[in-house]
Amino acid sequence: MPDGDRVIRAGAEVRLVSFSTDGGTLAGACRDSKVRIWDARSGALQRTVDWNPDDRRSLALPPGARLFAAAGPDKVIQVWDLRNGELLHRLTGHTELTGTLAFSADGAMLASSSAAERDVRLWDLPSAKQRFVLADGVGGAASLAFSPKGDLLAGSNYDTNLRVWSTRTGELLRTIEDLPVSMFALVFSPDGAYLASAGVDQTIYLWDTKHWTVRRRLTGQGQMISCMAFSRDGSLLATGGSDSNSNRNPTKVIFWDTASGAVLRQVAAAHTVSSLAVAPDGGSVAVADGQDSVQIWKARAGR
Amino acid sequence: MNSENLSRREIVEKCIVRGLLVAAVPMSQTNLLALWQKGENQAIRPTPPEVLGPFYKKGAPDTPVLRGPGDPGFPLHVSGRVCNTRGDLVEGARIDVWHADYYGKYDVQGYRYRAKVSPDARGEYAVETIMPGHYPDRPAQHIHYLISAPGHKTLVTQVYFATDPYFEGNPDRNCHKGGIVQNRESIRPVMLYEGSGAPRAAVAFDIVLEKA
Repeated sequence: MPDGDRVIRAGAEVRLVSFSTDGGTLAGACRDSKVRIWDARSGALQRTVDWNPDDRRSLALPPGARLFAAAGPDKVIQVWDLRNGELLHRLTGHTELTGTLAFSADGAMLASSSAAERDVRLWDLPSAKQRFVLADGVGGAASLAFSPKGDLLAGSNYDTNLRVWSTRTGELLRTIEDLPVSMFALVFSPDGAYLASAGVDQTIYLWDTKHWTVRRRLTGQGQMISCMAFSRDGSLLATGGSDSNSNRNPTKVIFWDTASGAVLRQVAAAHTVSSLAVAPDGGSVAVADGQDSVQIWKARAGR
Repeated sequence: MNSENLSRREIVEKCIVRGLLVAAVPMSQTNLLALWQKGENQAIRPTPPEVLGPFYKKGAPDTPVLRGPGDPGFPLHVSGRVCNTRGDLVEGARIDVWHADYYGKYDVQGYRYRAKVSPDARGEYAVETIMPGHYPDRPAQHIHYLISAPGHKTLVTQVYFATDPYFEGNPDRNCHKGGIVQNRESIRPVMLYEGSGAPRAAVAFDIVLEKA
């Protein structure tokens, strides 16, 4: 199994990772229904937040790691405050199983999707009220992402289309039907100028969010792409791979220079990469790759 | 539909349209209503949905033949009829089918084992392919379907095989094993026959669409 430059042992499979805003701690949402919070420098476990163990498979852990959401077979979305372990909200309204969850950058909104309902729901978190039900495609959302300002919500559906909604009005602003295959990962650049999408065709597309045309394609991953993360200044994009035949097959993680498209570093991953987080200082990347640990890689080899 | 709000004339008309009544014979409102409700209950159940999955690809070629010469895998013929919940033919239906190859891999670069077909004038469709392989993360063999038709809800579903070792010879008991199959009806019987001097498999899969 490939180990990172540093390894943080979790004792259970880590599914999502996120750094605190100051970079001091790293949170990992684990398969044993716990969020573990480590000292990012030493890897020492600081705290553990338990969430309900009833088979909650849809999870969201936003940058900043202040909040955590989990949805399960009871069709209720639970939102937790990771600072004190408090259950903040129980969002009810979905009539079918929820697949994908995403927080806005300020934590004030949550988007949730259900393939069977063919809808995306947009929730206001301070009030825990449902703001809009947005009609989605027939396949269910593979990924949802808010723009940094929170004015746009983008969704990639397994029907292979990308959709962009206004979070203010609920209006479907654009449906992009150009892609023949599914995009598993979506993320906006921190300045909001680009939406990155990547998935089955092993290519990363950087969409200009003004005209919604492809401004750059990054190729070279050589496998399906399961997740992505930008550094805070947008200069680095980390992408994690997935093997089309099994989530247990080995994959890789690539760190790209966003401006030039050059590969800064490529590292091995044990299995499908389920989550990536770039440290706020841009110097390292945390990788969850199906192991009972988090791999911490320097963004550039040898530094 | 709220049958309480139907007039006698409307009920008689609807029963005639459905073939439940040949002419407006003298009949009490209650008897007519009972006849109408019986007809409603006899409407054909829509085909239950299954998940689309991550490997749908737009732009599959128009062909009923997915199998290439010399392809590994047991030859499989899948056929059925496309209708709506009244049993009527559906105009302009398009059926996307796709599945993994014998080794359990989807072709994501090209269009191997991906095709689009249209039902004929009798509403019937057929594809010639191979029995799909197993793959580790979704260990039951299946064929994906995406069916669209004007005026009808787009149906996303899958066909599974009762002979699949995954169901351990008992699809009734094991249909929900592993949370893969949503509906027992999606697991179809498999018929073996001899065609062109070689053993082949056939599966019947009718598609019932709901009005939009």
